[in-house]
Amino acid sequence: MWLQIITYLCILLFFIVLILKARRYARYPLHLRWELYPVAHEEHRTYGGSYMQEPEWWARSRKKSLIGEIMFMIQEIFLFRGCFMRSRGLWFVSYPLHMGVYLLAMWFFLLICGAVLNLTGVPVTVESTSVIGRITYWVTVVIGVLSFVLGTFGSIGLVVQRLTKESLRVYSSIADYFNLICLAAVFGSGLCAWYLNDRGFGDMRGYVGNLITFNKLTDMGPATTIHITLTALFIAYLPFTPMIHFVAKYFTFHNVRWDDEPNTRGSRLERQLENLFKQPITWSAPHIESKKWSQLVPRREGSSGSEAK
Amino acid sequence: MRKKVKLKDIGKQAEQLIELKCEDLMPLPHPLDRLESQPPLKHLTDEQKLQYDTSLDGIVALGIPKPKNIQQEEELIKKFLSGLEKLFSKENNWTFLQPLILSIENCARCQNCSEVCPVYLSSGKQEIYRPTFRSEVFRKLVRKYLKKEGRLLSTIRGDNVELNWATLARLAELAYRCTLCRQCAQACPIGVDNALITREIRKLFSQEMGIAPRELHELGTVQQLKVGSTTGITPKALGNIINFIEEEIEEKTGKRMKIPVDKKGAEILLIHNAGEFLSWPENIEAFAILFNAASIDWTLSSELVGYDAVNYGVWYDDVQLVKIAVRHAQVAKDLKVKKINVGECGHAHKALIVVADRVLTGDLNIPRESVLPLLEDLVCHEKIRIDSRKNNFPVTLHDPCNIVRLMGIVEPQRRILRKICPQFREMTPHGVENYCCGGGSGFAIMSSMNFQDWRVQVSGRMKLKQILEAFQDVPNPEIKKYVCAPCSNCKGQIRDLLNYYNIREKYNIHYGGLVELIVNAMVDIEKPFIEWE
Repeated sequence: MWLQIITYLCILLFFIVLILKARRYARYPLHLRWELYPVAHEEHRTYGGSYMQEPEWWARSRKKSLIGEIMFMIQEIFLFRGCFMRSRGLWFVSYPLHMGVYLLAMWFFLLICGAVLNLTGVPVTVESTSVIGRITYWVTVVIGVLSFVLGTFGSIGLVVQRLTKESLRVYSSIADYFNLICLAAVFGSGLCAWYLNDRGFGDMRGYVGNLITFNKLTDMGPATTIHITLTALFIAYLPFTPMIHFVAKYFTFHNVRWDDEPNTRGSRLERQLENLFKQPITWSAPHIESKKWSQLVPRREGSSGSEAK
Repeated sequence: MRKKVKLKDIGKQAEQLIELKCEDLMPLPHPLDRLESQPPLKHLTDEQKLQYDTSLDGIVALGIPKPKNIQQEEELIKKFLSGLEKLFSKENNWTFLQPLILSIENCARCQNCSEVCPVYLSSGKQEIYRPTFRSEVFRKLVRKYLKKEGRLLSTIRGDNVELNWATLARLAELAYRCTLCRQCAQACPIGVDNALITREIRKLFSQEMGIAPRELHELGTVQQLKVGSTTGITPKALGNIINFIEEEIEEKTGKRMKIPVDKKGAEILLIHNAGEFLSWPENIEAFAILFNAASIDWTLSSELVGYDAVNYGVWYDDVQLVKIAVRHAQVAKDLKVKKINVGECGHAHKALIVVADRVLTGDLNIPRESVLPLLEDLVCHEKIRIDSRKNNFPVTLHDPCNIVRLMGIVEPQRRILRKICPQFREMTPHGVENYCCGGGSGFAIMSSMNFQDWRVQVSGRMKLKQILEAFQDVPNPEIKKYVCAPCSNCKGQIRDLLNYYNIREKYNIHYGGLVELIVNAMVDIEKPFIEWE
């Protein structure tokens, strides 16, 4: 039962810290524009063009492409395009590691699906009479094994790169190596558990089923137990590390690099700015004479602030 | 073999962390491929070394006087720590807090950024110029002295940088070894922006400690707000210069024209970088000729700050940035113009049109745009008559980072050049991936002690390589070649690059703006407008 409690707690901790981190990033005040081209939602994104290429751009309707953003994200998330184009050596290990992580999440989802099928009376085995049961079985095995192989290769590969490439070694800390070794342990133990104890992931599926139904655990092989323990602890540790950079990546792209939203009179953005101007300035250099931002940017006719007044 | 500098060395008591040598720098293509063809780097005098901190690389951008005693040192460290706190506070730094924290917390140290940094590559991969070196030092200081993470966590994370005078002085100088071109940010798969971290370090030193390059602060923003322009041109002197420009136009075109100044209710307020008035008056002349020919309703301003588009605050100080942007908008508002067009000045584009967009509210939020789309409209929609045969010489285009990578204005200037220059050729790479001229973030106007040598030999080296490679198919020194740089600071840097290596005289490579090429191709202008001297 202790393993189940640890798993519940670890997953809970993961989501709590993840949400808090995302919430913290989202709650920072509106900043000055600092976009960088190409901006994925721009009409001329293929060469990095912006709406400011048009004469009197403010008089034209802006075309923002959601498809452009989605296409960019798909290429970045699933192909690591940027890394592939600029740093091929790194891509050959970083890409397998990240694919390993994605497939691990997918494998967990498939285990949940399999567990639900089992609970509804559809056996998920190689001899299952149900086509869905057989497909789920094989897909789970293939995805799981692929995830473990890619993840083990990628994490060990990154450790080797960090040790052998001077530019990476100089900037790597004990924590960086520890994090990669944790990843290697999670994937490596999964591979061992599959090979030694659980070729069809039946034990894993049973374990996930018990998590869903809050039932007591059935017996599992030692390798599987070790893998589950390591994975659960890693999930809890993950949001406290820089490995959680996918959360930050959302904000660095959407809130900084692609934030080209112009400020227009009477807009919501302008109202936000008027509130920010009320804040104090306490910088100490001799040329900072103002005590508030509003002294630098006095209220103007037609601004949201003056309307409110 | 060169000794590798480690991060913790930043606080080491040593005369200099590195010694730059010409033979270590990135090789240049023909005709500068031999070391003998390159002038040696200028060293500081013993007196300068005694007076200023030169312990980073023997180059001086800031000229920070050495503290006289331990009390002064401690005072400076105390100020730095207080600035660090303010830099991470919502009140004092709402302007860039979110991007800063995202960049501080999320670097994977994959070094993708280093492979595109022109300064790092040009220097022959000097460790201290690696984009992550500066950021990592700063990150470690933040974790150790602001977040005060425990000893165990510090050891695990390798936070072994000590905050002492050596660290402070070197970090301050190091913040002026990056041109803020943001190639590194573009290359980062996570979106971490080392250039932004650099700018924020500069800001901390300026806004809290009053430490900034003299050319940017005292002679820059402070002088601009007081006198009217960073060049020192006063409103009165401007009148004389405009008279001179009108005479020049008459001499060149045979036509007498009046340049409109302070014309109330004009459609366009055109603001130039005031450097053009002094160094490149032909750029001002060309705009006047073109706008007159196209019957555009425009004006210049003679109000304080209104005739100088520059805003050096964008490189080092938010408060100065805001003061100048508000003044620009105020001038336009008082003139009751329909819009502001920023002339050929890259950082002024970025500062007034983009960064200050979230500072100017209400009736100060006057429409602002680049002059390049307007020029494209005049040329490509045939509002003026062009004969491209008049520009039948090799032309290449430099993409100012602030206009192209940071604003996405990529095609208007190209469409113009394709139409008016039959021998137009691109540099490699170009567009949003183009390399900085090496004069970015204020470097083009910084020449104290031996800094000019550094910006020409190191930060501008990649651009020089690009320029030489763009004209490799026309090696004949009899053939005139033109580097088109639609940015005043980039022009200044390219001028210095060409002069330093004597390229204009030896290889006939010249530089200039875009509008000069347009006027040179105008059917109505009989004599060639471009003077190749």
